[in-house]
Amino acid sequence: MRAIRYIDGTYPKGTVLTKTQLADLGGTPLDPDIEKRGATIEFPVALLDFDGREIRQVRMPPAVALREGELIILSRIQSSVQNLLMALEEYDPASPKTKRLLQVALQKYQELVLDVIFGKKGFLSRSILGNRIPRSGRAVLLPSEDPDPMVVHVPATMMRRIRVRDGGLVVVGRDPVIWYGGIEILRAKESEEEVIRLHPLVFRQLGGDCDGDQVWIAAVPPSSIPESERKVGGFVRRNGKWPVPMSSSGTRVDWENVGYQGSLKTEPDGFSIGPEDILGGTEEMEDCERILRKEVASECRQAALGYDVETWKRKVLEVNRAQLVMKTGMGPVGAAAMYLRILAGDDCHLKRSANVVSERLAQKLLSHKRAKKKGESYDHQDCLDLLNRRKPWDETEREEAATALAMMLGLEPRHVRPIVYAIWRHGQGLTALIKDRNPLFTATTGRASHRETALELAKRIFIDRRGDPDGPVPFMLRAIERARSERASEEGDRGTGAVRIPDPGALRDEGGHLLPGDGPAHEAGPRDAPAHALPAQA
Amino acid sequence: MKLDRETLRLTLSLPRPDGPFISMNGVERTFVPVVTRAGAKDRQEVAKGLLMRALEMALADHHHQGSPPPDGDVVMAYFRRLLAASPLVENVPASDLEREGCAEMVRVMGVPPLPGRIEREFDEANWGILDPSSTSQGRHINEVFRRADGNPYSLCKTHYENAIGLKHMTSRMQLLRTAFESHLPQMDPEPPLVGNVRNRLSGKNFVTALMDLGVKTFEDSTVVSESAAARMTCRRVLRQAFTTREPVRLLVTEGSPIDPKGPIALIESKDHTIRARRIAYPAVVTKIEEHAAVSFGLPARKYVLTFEARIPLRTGDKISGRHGNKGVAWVVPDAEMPLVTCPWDPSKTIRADVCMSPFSVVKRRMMSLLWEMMAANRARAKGEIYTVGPWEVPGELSFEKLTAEGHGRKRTAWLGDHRLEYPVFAGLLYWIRLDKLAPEGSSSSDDRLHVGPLGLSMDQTKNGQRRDPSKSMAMFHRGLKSLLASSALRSTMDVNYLEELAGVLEPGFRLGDLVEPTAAAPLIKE
Repeated sequence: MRAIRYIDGTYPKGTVLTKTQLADLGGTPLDPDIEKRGATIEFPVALLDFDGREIRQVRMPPAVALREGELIILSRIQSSVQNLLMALEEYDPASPKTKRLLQVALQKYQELVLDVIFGKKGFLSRSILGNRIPRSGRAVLLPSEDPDPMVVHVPATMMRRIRVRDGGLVVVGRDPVIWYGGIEILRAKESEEEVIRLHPLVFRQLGGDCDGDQVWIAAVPPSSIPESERKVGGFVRRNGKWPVPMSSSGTRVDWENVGYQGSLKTEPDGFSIGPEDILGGTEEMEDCERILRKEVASECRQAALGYDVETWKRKVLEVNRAQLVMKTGMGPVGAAAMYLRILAGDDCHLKRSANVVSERLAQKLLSHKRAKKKGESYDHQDCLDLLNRRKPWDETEREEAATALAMMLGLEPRHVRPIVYAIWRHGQGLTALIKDRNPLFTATTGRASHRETALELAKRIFIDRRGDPDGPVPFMLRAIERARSERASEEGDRGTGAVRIPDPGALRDEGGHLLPGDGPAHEAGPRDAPAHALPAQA
Repeated sequence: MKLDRETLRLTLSLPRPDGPFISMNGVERTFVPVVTRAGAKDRQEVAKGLLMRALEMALADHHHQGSPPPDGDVVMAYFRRLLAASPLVENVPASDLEREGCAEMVRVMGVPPLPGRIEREFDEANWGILDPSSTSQGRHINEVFRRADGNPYSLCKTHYENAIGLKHMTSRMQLLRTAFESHLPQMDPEPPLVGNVRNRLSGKNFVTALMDLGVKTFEDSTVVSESAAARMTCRRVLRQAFTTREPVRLLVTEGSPIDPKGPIALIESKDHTIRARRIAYPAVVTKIEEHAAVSFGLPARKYVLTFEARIPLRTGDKISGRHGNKGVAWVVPDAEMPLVTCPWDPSKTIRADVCMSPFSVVKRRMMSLLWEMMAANRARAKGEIYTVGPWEVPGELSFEKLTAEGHGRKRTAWLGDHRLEYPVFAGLLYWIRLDKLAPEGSSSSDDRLHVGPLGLSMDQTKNGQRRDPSKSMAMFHRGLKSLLASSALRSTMDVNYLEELAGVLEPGFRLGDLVEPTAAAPLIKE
C-alpha cells in the first residue's frame, strides 16, 4: 500500500498517513492537527490543473465545521478528496491508465472546489456577493384597510428586528424590481399579524397580488431620512390609479379624500357572478367585462358548456406554451448576461455596455406579459436571437444589428454598440463564442485576474484564518482595490479611441500561465461613451 | 454478481428500477426517473457515491469474511443503510403526492439539442403518454415531463387522481399540480362532496360566497371566518437531522413539547447547543432516531428528530381550491362574514365560511369552480356524494342541467344588518391548505454583521432581503442616492458594478462620494 505524505508546512510533525488511516471507520482517528488545519497532498507525478498548468500538490481543507450547511459543503469536498486519495493509492508509474485516473480525480476535485466557491449557491455568491440589505425583512402581502396609502403595516417582530418605530420610514418593494416604480418609501405601522399590508393603490406599481406574493421592506438609514422624507409615496402620489374593481367611477385618485371615500364604494354591495350570468349573459356579466376591461363572456360561456377533447387539448397546449415563456426565458437570458459580462472582461466601456444590455434584457423578459399586451413586436427572444447569431456579420450588418438591438431594448445605440461590436469582432454569436471555449472559463467569472484572485481566495478559505488580518475578507478587499488601481492606470496609459477586447489567448505568459489583466488592445471603431477615470480607491 | 475469471470482468445486476419502459413514437424508450427539485445534481452525486460505497462494502464482506458473493439485493440493502446514516442525506418531509410526483418525472432520452428559440415543443404523438403541462426548466425543457400513463387526457397521476371538472377549464394546470402536491393534511378532513373517484386530498367543504367584499377580496385575497379557520387545523410534520462525532446529550424525549428554536441537544465538549430551527410553531417531538454514520471518514452518530405541530389557519396562510384558485387567507370574525340564503334549503340562511372575488374566477375562466359549487349544492340537498373522473362530467351533473335545476341561482345576502344590493351566488367548495404558512415565509435581519467560522461575514440564508442591482437602480432612478449608497455600503464586490450601471444615467457617478463615514457595525461571532 502506498503511503500518502502530507507535506503541509504548518504541520509540525510531518507525519505520514495512509489512506486506510484516513478512511477506515474503526481505525485510528485522523490527527486532530490535520483536521483543524487541513493538509497538502503531494503527487508523485506532475498533473495538469484545469488551466493546463502542471501542479504537484493540492490542498485538503480542514474538517472543522460548526454549522450544518458548512458541514455539507466540506463533506462534499471531503468525499472528493477521498476519491483523489484512492486514485493516488492506486497510482503505478508504469501504468498510464492509473495516471489518467489520478488526473481525472484531480480535475473533479478542482471542479468541485470551484463550484463550492463560485457556483450559484457557492460560498462567494452566498456570503460576499449576495449579502443582505441590513435591517430588512419580508413577509406575505395582503391589502390593508387603512385608508392612508402612505402607510405600510409591518409585523411587530419585524419592526423590532429592523429597529423601526411607528411612523418610521421604510423602503417597500417586491421582487423582481423591474422598473423604478418597483420600490416605494412608506411609513411603517406596527401590526400583530405575520403579514405586510399595503394600501391597494400601491399594489399596481409593485405588480403584486395576494396569491402568496411576498414583499420586502428595508429600514431607511438615519443618514438618508431627510432625503427620503421628501420622497414618501412619491410614485404613488404622481401615478397612483385606483384598481378598477375598487372604483365605481373612473380611476382618478382624489388625493384630498384619498381613503376609501369619495369615488370609492364605501360598503360592499355584494357584486357576484353566478352560473346563470355565465350562461345567460346578464347585465352583471357586462359590468364584469367593463370592470375587467376584458371580453371574457364568450370564453366563459364556452368553458361552462365544456370543451370537446380536441379543443381542450389544443387550449391546454397553447396555455402551457405561453406560461412557460418566463420559466424557459430565465436560463437563456441569465446565460446571455453572463456571457456578455465575460466577453466584456476588464474593459470598463465594454463592461458598461454589457451590463446595460444584460439588465434591459432581464427587464424585457420580466415585463414580457405587459409588453405583449401593449403589442410590442419584439420580445427577449428576438434580442437573444440577434446576440446568438452564428453567421458572421459584415460591417453594415454590424451597425444594423446594434441599431436593431438598441431599438428592441429601448436603449440608445451608443450604449449597445460597444458590446455588439465586440461580438462582431469574434465573427460568431455569443453562445457559440463562449461555448467553444473551455467550459471552466464560463464556470468562473472569466476574468483572468478574478480567477487568480479566486484561486488564492480558495486557498485562503481552506486555511483556518479566523481573526487573521490577512484572512479572506481583507484579502478580497485588497484584491478589489488592486484591480481598480490597475484599471485606473491602464485607463491613463491607454488614452482614448479604442475599445479593448480581451483575448483569452493572449492572457498567458511564456510558460503558458495565466496573466492578470487584459490582452492586447484592438481598434474597434470610435468610442461611444465619454471616458471617465475610475477611482483609485473605494 | 458474476466474475469472469479469464477476463477479470465483474458484472453486477441491480434490481430493475420501478417504472415502465414504453413505446413512444414507434421507438422503445427508456425513462429515467429524475428529481428536478433544487440541488438535483448534488443528490445524484451523493446517491452515486453511496452506491459505490455500498458495492465496496459488499465486496469487502465477500472477500474478507467469506460471505456469499453479493447479489443486487445485498448491495441495495447496504445502500439503504448508508442512505439512512449519511450526513448528506436528510429526510424531506413532503406529502405522499409530492414524493410520488417526483417519481413520475421522466426524462425523454434522445431529444436533439434545442435549436434557436427555446420554448415548449410538445409532439402531438406524445399525447396520452406525457403530461404537456409538466413544468421543467432551463436546459431540460422538452426533456423532462410527467408520465401520463396512457390516460386519454394526457394527465399526470397527480392531476388524474385529484382534479375534477377539467372539461370546464384549460388554464393553470401546472398551478393545480403544485397546489395538490403541496397541500397539508388536515386534522379532521372531510371527503369532498364532489370528488375525484381516486381523491387523495385532505380538505374541508366550506360554504363559499362568490362576492366582492371590497378591499378584503382584492387581488385574490380570500376571506375566511374565524370558525372556519379553526376547523381547518392541519398537521405539520417536520424533521431535523444532525450528525456529530462528539458525545451528545439529547435534551428532549419522544413526546416532549418543543418551541421554535428551543434546545434539542447539547454537545458538551464544545458547549454547543443544537436548536429546533425548522419549526415556526410550538410542536411535539414524535420520534427520535439514531443511526451509525460516517463524518469525514470517522465514525459518527446521526440523529433524526421528527416534530409534529397542529396549526390552525391564520391570516397570511395560503389556501386553495381544486381549480387553481389559490389565495392568501384573511381571517375575520364570523360576524363580518355575509349571511346568505342557504343554497340547498332556501328557507334558511347560513353564514358564509369563505368569500372570494368573482373577478378572480371570471378573469381566469374557472368555470369548473362554478360547476363544483353547483354540484356540491345538489349533493348536499340530496344527501349524496358524487365521485367523478378528472375530466368528464356525468350527464345529470352537466353545467347546463345543474343551472336549469336552479343550483346556480344567486340569492339574497346580508352583511351585518344590511341587505346587499346584489344577490350572491354561494355554494359548497372544497378547500385545501397549502404548505405556505405566514410565519415560515416571514423573515428579517438586523444590521449586525455575522462572522462565520471561516472569518467571513455570513448572512443567514433566509433572513432579510437580498441585495441586487435592480433594486439599487430603482433607488438611483428615484433620486434616492443616499439610500442607495447606504444600502450598498457593506457590499464589497458590487460597488463597481453599480457605478457602471449608474454611469449610464449619470456619467461619472461615484458611489463613494455619497458614502458618509459611519461607525463600524457591531460584530457577532457565531
